[in-house]
Amino acid sequence: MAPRGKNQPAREARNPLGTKSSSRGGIQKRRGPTKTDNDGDLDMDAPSKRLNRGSTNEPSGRGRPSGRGPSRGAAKVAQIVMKQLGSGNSSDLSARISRPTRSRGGFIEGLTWLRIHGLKQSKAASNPDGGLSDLLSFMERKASSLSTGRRRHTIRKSHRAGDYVFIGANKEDADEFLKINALTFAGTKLEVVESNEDFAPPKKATESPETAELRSKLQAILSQRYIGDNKLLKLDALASDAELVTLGMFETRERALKTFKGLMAICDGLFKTPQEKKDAIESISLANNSIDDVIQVESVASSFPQLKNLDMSGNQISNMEGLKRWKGKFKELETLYTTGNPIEGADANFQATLLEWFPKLRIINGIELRTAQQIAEQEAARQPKPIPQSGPDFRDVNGIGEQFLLDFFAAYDSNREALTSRLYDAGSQFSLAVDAVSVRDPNAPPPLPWAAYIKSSRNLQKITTLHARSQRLFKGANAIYNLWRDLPMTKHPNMKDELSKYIMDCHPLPGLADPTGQSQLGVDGLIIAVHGEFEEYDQKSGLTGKRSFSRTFVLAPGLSGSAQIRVVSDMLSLRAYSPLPNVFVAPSSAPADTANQHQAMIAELSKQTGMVPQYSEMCLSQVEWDFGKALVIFNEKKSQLPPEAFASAT
Amino acid sequence: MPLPDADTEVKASSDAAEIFVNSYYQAINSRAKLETFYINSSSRYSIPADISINGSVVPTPEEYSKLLETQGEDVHYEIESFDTHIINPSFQYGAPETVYESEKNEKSGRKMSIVVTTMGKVRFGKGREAPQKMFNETFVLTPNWDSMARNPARGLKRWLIMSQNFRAL
Repeated sequence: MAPRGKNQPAREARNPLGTKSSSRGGIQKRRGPTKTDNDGDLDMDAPSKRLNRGSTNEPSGRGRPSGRGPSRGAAKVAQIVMKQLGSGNSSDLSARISRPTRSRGGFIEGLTWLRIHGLKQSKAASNPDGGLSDLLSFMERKASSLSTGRRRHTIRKSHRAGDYVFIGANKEDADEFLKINALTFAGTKLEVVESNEDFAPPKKATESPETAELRSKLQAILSQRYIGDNKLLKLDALASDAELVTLGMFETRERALKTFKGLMAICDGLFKTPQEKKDAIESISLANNSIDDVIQVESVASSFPQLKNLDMSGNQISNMEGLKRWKGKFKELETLYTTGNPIEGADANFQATLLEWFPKLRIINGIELRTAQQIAEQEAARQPKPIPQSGPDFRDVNGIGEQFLLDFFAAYDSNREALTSRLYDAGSQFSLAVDAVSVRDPNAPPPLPWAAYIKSSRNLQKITTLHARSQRLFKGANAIYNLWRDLPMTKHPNMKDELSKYIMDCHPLPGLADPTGQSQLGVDGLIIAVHGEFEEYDQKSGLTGKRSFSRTFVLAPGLSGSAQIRVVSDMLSLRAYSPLPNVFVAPSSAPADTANQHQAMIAELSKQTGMVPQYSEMCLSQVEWDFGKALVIFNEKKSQLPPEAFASAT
Repeated sequence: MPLPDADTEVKASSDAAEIFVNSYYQAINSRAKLETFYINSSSRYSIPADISINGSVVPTPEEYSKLLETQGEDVHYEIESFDTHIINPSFQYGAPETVYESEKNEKSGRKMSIVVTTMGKVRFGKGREAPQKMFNETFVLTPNWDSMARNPARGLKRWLIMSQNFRAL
């Protein structure tokens, strides 16, 4: 790949691995640069000093805490690798790889660029990062102390090119930085001048010829190993690649590891978006590379997380430990080849484990162990499931609860005054609570406003002062009626005719207060929870519509001479209308579903293995109906199975 | 029998309800053990809590935990509304013959039983797109007599569940 001048469009970058782009429309569809730009990554060399800088609006790369995070993987790896590969100035190369195109994505509107000379001659040049971070912080410090205002002056962008350092800053800041011209930094007089060049100066002059050559050779090798038609990147048998050997890239194990990382980094640098990469490369072969632990090629997982097919055959993986670093990666992997690895003879369960580790994996060594549909079913089985609903748990006493409910809602709709005087006494309590953010039926009309209720809502989540909590608790039949009188008119469904519009549960409750004082331990009563809906007519607003409610009653025996029961507590919870589940129909068909699913799995296993259903069922039940495992077990035990296990071939 | 005054009743009951609601649903969401929330954990109560979940009686808190677990991963309960009433300001059921500082405890509302209703959402799965269902739940909380002893064990809850009624809506 030829070095680019500043105005050259980034053709190479659109052209993965340097091959002709004719066959890969997906790549050409790229819609301009994206946020993957790592502009300013140069100062990743000095994470500690640059940590707290840049409180101003940082565009992208800068301002993240340090250069060590995995998210910076590509650029960092590229930099590491290029340090190994190149003899020249590594940092401007890394900037090039992480920023193959100079495009709008990297350009900040209105930055003024300055060119600084003198770093290379200064004593700071021997610092680990070549003194860049020291120079930048020196300049910021100096500019702030030189200027009259209190403002901090901030370098927004920086990069090195040969003997020069280029910095980008706001116009005002840049003016201050210009004053540093001719000041002394680390024993050297700095020259600071405004740069007339574009923000990225011509790189041609600053890249060492050897590095450029090496990189272009590696790129050429990659391009030869890319089969565009198959979207396949063949990285097999790298150590016997004549060109790589000639380059000395596999002289030592360390060198080989670095070479591999370098190759991955170059791949990364060639794609602007993950989608582009996914479209270009679906399969990778790492066959015959003497890999005994995938840690040696771990970066494949980070560079190609959406890989579909992977060939690991002919390597030296001897146990699952050697694959562990890829566990939970390659979430899209469908096909895997492992033939010719020692693990095949060593670990009888390795295929089952692989199926567990890679959720979409279907085919190992050309054998389909599960279908996409089975994967989808297993996925569905893992989804959370609500606790099943049953009909009313109505443990009534002498029909008291039933009678109460039948009576109550009709009376509440027609004559609230009579209702309070009949069933409520001085000790009865009522409150209502509004949940205005409930889940509602998206097809239902918009919920009614809450104005009529919100003033008296005692939702303790919202009502937090003691005063309001007291005010909104209504005690005694009179107080309760006075509130009810002002609440909207209601019409509840007739419980006898439309039972399925209600859910009601009740059970006896001991320990209620005995107003007569006769029973020390208290009296027994009932607690009823009922859920339903009602139609509403708000006299004040004239609005009508439906609401959903839940209402809890605590009922105690009536005092002698009055009604049979009295209401101790009446708690009304209101929410937007949403129909109730019908709990009166037969309980959910979940067990039947499971049975059907099992039958389907038995049939499928018989089909794939030729076993009779009876044996398929035995096999499946042994592995708790995990289809993948059943196939694996079958393949292991096939030879030991009696003839009657198989349907006759004729 | 010095019963609590009206303000004390409201304060004690709503504080009790608030503490309970927060800790109980947090325990459910974090899959912590639920036993200590129920009268089943106190020898003072000779009866077990009456637990009714979606219309089925669940015999023990442990069984309820198991039922919750069958829902699978990433099920989250979120409360949007709760309220409470006092059922009995001087609850006696299961009380020891002599309650430590009985009068003081009664006056401060420690001996009452309350009914707590909650309403909220259950979210099945992670993320905004996860399906959600409303639920309504009713509890009756009664005093944990053990927490009223002279030197109560640390971490004892002041109120325990005697009755629970859950419905997904």
